[in-house]
Amino acid sequence: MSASRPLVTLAAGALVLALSACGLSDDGAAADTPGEQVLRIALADPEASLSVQDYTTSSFTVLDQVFEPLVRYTADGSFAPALAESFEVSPDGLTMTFALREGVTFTDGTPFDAEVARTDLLRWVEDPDNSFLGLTGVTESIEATDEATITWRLSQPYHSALNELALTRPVRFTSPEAAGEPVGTGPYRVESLDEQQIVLVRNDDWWGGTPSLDRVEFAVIPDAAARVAALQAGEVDVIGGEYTAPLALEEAAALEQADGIEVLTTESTTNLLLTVNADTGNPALADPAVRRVMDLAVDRPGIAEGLFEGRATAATTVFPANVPYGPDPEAATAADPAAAEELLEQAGWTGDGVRSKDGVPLELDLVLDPGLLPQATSLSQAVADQLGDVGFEVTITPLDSTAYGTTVSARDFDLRFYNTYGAPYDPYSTLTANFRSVQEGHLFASPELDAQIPAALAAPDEESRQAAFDATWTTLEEQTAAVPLVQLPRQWAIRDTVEGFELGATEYDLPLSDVTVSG
Amino acid sequence: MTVTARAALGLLGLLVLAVLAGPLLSPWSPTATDLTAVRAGPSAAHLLGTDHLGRDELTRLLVAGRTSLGIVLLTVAIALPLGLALGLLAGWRGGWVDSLVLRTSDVVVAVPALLVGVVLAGVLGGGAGGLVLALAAGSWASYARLVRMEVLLRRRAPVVQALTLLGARPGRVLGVHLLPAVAGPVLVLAGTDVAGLVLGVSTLSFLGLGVRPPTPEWGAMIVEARPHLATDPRLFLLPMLALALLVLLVLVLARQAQAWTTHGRPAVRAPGHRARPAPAGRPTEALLSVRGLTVELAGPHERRRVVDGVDLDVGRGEVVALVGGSGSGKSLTAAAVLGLLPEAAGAVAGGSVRLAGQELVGATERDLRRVRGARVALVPQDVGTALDPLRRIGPQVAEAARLHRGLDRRAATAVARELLVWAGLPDVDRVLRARPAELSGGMRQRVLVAAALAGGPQLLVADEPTSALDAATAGQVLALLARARDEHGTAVLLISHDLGLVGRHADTVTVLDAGQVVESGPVAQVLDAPAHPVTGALRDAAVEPAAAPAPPPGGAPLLLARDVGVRYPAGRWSRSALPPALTGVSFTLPRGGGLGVVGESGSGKTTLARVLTGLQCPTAGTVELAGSTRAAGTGHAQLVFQDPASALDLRQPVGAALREALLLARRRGRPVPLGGPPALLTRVGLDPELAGRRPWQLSGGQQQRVVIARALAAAPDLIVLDEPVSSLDAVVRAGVLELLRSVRAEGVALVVISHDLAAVAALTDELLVLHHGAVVDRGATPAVLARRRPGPPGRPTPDPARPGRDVAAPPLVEEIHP
Amino acid sequence: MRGSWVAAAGRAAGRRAGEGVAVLLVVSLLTFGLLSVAAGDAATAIVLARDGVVSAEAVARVRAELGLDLPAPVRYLHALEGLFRGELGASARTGQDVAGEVAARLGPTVTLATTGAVVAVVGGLTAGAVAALTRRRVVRLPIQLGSLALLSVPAFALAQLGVLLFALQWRLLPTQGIAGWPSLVLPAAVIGLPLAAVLAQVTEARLRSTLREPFATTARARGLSPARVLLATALPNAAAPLLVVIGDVVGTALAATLVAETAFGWPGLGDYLVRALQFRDWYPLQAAVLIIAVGTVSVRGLAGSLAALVDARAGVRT
Repeated sequence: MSASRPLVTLAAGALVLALSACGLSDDGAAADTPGEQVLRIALADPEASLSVQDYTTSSFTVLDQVFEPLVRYTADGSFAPALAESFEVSPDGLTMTFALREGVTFTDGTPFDAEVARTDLLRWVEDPDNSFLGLTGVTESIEATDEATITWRLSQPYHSALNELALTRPVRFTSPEAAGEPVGTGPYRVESLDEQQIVLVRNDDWWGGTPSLDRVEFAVIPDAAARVAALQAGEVDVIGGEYTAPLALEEAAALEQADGIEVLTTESTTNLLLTVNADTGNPALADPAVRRVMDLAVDRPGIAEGLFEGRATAATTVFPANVPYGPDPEAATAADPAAAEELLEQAGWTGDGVRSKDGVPLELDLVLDPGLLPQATSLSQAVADQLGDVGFEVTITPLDSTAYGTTVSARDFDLRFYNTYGAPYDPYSTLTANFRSVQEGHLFASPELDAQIPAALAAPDEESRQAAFDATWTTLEEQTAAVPLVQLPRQWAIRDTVEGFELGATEYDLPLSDVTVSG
Repeated sequence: MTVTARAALGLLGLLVLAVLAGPLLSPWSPTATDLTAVRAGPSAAHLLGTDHLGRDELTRLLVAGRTSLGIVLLTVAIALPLGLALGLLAGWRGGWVDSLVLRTSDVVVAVPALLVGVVLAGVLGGGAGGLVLALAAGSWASYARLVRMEVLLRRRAPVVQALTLLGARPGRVLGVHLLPAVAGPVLVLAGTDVAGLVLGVSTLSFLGLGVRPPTPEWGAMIVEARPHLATDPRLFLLPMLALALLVLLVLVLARQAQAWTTHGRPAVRAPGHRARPAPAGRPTEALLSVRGLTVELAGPHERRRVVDGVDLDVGRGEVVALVGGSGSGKSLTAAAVLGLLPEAAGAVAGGSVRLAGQELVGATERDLRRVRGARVALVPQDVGTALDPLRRIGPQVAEAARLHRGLDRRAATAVARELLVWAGLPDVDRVLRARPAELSGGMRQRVLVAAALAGGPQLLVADEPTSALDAATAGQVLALLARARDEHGTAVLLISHDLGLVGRHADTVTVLDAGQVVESGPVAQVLDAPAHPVTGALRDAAVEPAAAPAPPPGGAPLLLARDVGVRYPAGRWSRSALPPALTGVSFTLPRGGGLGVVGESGSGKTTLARVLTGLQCPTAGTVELAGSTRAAGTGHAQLVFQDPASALDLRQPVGAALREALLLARRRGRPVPLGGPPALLTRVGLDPELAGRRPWQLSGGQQQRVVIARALAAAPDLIVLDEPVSSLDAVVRAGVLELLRSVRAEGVALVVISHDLAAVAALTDELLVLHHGAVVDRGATPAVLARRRPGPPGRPTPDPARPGRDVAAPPLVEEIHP
Repeated sequence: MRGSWVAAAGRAAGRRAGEGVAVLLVVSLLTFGLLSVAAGDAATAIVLARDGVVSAEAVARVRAELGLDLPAPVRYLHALEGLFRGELGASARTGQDVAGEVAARLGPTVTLATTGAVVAVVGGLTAGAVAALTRRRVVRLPIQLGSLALLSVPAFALAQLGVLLFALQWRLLPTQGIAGWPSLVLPAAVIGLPLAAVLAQVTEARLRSTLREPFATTARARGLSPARVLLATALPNAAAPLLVVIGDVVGTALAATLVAETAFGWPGLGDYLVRALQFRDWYPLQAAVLIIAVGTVSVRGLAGSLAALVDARAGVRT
């Protein structure tokens, strides 16, 4: 027996080591005290820190609980007061006046007043890193005219200024005494933050009243299937949200049949596009006829119904109708391969199998990041097959996020998918960042768009603004700047113990102050 | 081939066929989507339904199999030869090459495959080609490690030494002989590897870095089906099952291959035991009464009866010898008496074995356990392996006493101590704490006798207790058994092939041949007037052969050893250098001469053999053979080993081995014997028909003759024989000795290294006695032998006063090695 | 004698350690080389996460901030120099000190890998021993089929099925996370069970061949039960080759945390490594790879030394 003992000892030792260890804690399960109102929300990515002052935090809905803007975007496209009790834009569009809410304090006790607000606004307005925000370019001055008033002067009219002020980062307010800690004015404050979860507790001094939840726990669950399982097992109460813990449409379909779970679906303000690199991709893509053919060959209703379980809506324009000044899309029709092939023949793209013209074959490289868009892998195969039917050959290259970003910015691809930003960014941010030739890494550009987009942004009145936007929509469609695919819905799933849960006006916001949890 | 293996092979064949013919079987394209018919259930058009993009699931499954198999087979095709080459190189060369290969494989294991996957997907654009390279880069290491290990184990094997002496270059040894030998384990590994790679490909797909869509691949299909698991598990389970089936079949086949390569044929399950009732009315005063014992073994095609109706009686306090040649069934009879028939061979016994009236054939394992060690105990054959090398001697000796006499540890140890003292072991307290490797062979055999007696048995079964011992030690052990009988009244069943030796210690003798008793009776009667020819042959073989032929008229000495010394470097775990293996050995040997070298184990005999043949350079002094100091590979000196099977390439037919030896000799410019393999076989007394056989189809004696024939093919001046006959039974041994005498008569000088004094006497005219690497006695063989054996040759005289010290054989100093 | 023997063992360990350091250096260099040829770098990743799009100017600015604009060999030498000073550097993604981050993640990974290894070793040895001991099909067949099945299913599918059955169907275990002991069960099983299957097969084969050795027969001839022969004699004698396999198994368990941590949201080193890789974040990647490599190489080396020790005790020259 003597010699077998070391083995037993070894095994026992290892077991003891494992059980005594290091790293495992029971906190998560044991900390709930009875009667406490706790909401557990799944979060896809861990955060090393919570900050609206830089771009390291991407969990917008967590930031939304802690940090507040001057104004909030609402579902109908108008703006509601937040830290600004009221606001006014002068008729010439050059002066904005904000009357700040009084008696507001940060959760560290620091009062929120005009001087604090001004300093915090200048922090991001003067930082070149934030140049993608139009306000950084048109701000003349920001002044604290009295303890509760901010006067903001612009060098030119900038009508999407309020959209920018409703964003999450970098514009929301942080306590001047915070010293890197996440201290805001919101309904919740941060109790703890680590790789597994972010715990928020109620801010009893919140200006908007007493939030109904005692605690909000964001549990980090990186794997999509694991999140679905966690919801079904009752380990979390809420999953979903494009910037929280994305829920794939087929998963939502499956969850709808599960007991005790409710799936919330709302129309989004984003369209999913198949974008073409007409500048540096396959030269064939510079031919408008080829782009038009792709538009004809893609089976939108099929994708919306078959691939997205009937939960998506076929899209025929770059933006959905519900963005401000949005286009007026016509109904989607099924693919027309015959028309597509005929058009290709007319344009000189001939041959059996893969067509070609002047020695250039219709071979396209479709890059995608499955992490960015859960359905990208399936979608790419459907699109590749549909384009293949009319004489394209599409190679699919899945990449990890950094390789994808690098490839995209080097414009070393032919096709990729793109989901527009949605409210409160759109249509302004998508147009500025992606359809102007001056912008690096744009999706598509043409001289017409280069002229029309700035005109639309700077249009002095509603009427001319709508006309300018309409002209832009027409150009986008005529040139087939992108192949619109579907309008994806906003999808969340909650356990039926959660009451009063409503989606925010945007995917970046999550109002939780009236939510209660039963049972 | 077993049913399992056949079924697995058949299924795998079907699977591969289906996968290869897949596109032909199916009208669908694996990539054609139909968004109007997504996730449709099975139908006539789509036998397994469609996937989430409306593609035909069956087609995709089949084509996915082709993707996986293609990638995996290509990977193995790259990794296997690479690993093989590196492993051979590392194992053969050793040193820094070996270190480099090993450490490189460490690196391969440590670099995360995921990183490689990311680089592949990003830089090489993914796809099958890069995948194959990446997988192969990780896969070669396990082949290299395995082959290295196998080569390392075989690098010093007798067969390699023999080939080196024949003049074979490393390339030939590795390529022609070692490579086929490692083929079995490599095949097994390849099976496991294929299974692992199929999983690996799918895991990379899981991480999104494997085969590019829309090319179907099982892992990717599983991943894409994950969101539908709850609603449509079919899409998840089908590819998973296909994947698992392939891996499972490959693993089953690999396991079967492993069984074949490690222990030949798979075992056949034994049918139930059949006990034959003892004939009634017969007085059963005998302690052991064996009646009509039959033992059958599972053969490749049918069951072979190897013990056939044996009757045997051992009275109380009686010593009965059971004698027979190899394969006569004597050891299986002994095993049956202990209820220890080899399970792996599917042995089954019939008839009756009664010990003091208790039937043992068909008894339950529980009942047998109460008998074994307590009433009948075993003194096993091989002292080298019969003791657990890891346990201390004390507990092993005390075990039976604790088990059967209900003694506690302390009391049992006291018994063990007493028995060891009784068995004549020196420094008993130290022996109790020692491990077997620290004892000499003779001491271990005495320990085994003591351990057998610890349970207080009525019968000892001694299975060839002396065959591995030199004559002197053997005598001591037999004397010890006799004392056990005299002092404890223990009966002894003594199994041996040496009628002459055991005959002197037994009361009655039973002679077995081909599983049957051919003769039985009191020793004197059987020895003096054998009634059966087999008995005669066994008796005659035990008689000493005539003295060696006179040396031919001398001339220049053929072999000249001057002050030869060998010292090995210190071992891995010990700082102190080992004592020298050889010191100051000098002698000369004329052409056609015969020199004997004797000494106990560890006295440096084998080192001397290696030095004389040039396999090893002496660290001091010189060895000159035929005027040259370089012997190895010249063909002048050949070596014949104790175990002929280990000196032959078991895969190579006898004729081919001889042809190879002749070819190598011709290349070396040796005057090769004419007539080719048939003439050589005839020369060593074998039928030329045997040329087509492989070594494992021959008996031990035939194998040894083949080894001698191969040595003769090199037309050597000198053959060094290292224990040439000690693994052979008496009859065969006599024949081989005769052959060697005739070889020497033809002018080939012999150096005979042995503890078998009779063999040395038969073949040599001069004798060296080695002790601790030094020559302690030398002279004409008969004279030296006479000095070292007080009694007549081969007849040790027990000294009743000093058991275990009965033979005046200094310098047989037994001590516990540090 | 014992003292010098220990000293010799020490020296052997020293040499092994030296070789280990060389291996680690090469691993580090290889990892760096592979990372530097992968598409994109940390600067790209940062700009991407920040802006959603990558502008060359912004990337260049971040690259300069992070010192990524230096040539690759210079950067590697910098990192190496830091390593020799005992500095693991800072993460480009979080800006935090890697040492602290790694320390926080080491515990969970060690816990998971150890538990997985214990499952593998205890389960594998037990199943292998039971299978070697009995000739009864009722016992052997389930063990053989079970181990084959575990070896045939990819780990990620095993994880999914485990969640489906144990967490969703029977509600016995949590689906993911690191809260309390129950959450350890599934990931440890996914790591440990396939390895247990490997070990069971090797153990059975080794024990069977050891049980055929003469000393095992001698022990049985003394009246020992097969089970005691197995425990007292066969297992220790099969220990040397088994230790080598166990070393491999434990080393593999450490590497296998990668898939298990991803599948079960276990915030350990494997998860850290995957994130660092995604972000082309060199310092965290290097730390994670080196720690896993150190673990694997030293566990293997330790097992090899132990095996040699057992062999040396048995008087076998290696």
